[in-house]
Amino acid sequence: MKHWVVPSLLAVVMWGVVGLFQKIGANRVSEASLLVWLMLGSVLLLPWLFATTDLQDLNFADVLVAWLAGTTNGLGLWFLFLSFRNGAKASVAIPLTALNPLLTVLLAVAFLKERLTVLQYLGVALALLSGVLLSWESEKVERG
Amino acid sequence: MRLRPQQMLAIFILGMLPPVLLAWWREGMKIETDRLGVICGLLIGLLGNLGQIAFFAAMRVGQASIVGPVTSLFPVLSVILAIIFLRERINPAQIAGVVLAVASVIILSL
Repeated sequence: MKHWVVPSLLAVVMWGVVGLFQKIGANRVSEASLLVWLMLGSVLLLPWLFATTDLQDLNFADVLVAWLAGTTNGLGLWFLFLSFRNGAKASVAIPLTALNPLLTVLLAVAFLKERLTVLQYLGVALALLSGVLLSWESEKVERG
Repeated sequence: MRLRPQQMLAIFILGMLPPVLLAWWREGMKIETDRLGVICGLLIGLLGNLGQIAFFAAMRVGQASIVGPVTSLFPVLSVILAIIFLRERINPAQIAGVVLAVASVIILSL
């Protein structure tokens, strides 16, 4: 078996299960409380992280990017939990939020002047179409 | 980006603090302690970041063009678990949406 298979599958299983816990957790406590508890769960890893690396000689720009990635992730989770609290199904909201590479690609085109391949254009089109399909039910409810 | 994965993850976790504190402050610094909610919250933080470490490990030994699309399959597991354990039902349009979402994420991460 290739060396990347086991860690890749572990990532899929952990992130997949997390989606279920996010919905169940949002059903039981407020979005702010869930954020606080998940922060505590994340902080449990910090001793191990600091024991296996150091924070010496860091480049300010790199630290800023990593910090902002955490901040935007926290904001994204806040909005995701709010959507769950407002009745969003995990089976719809999780695939919808997993479309975030679409925004990454569009931002890379706009700000980094990257060019899309034909395949990436197809990916963008499929992502937009899937977004419409996934939100089909809520549109019907609003019209009703 | 010259950060090592552990450095990246440590700073990433610390970067989550401002929105978490803001959300908590908006709720009057109150915290709900429903046991299942607490367990879910702790597991989201723990497993979400362990998944990130597993992803970094896979990227270190595998090609990004393969590891990226494979790991982007995680929503499929979430959907299956939600259907089994939460008894969620989704309509045919949404099923097509899930399939297209996964396909698009795989393509975009190639």
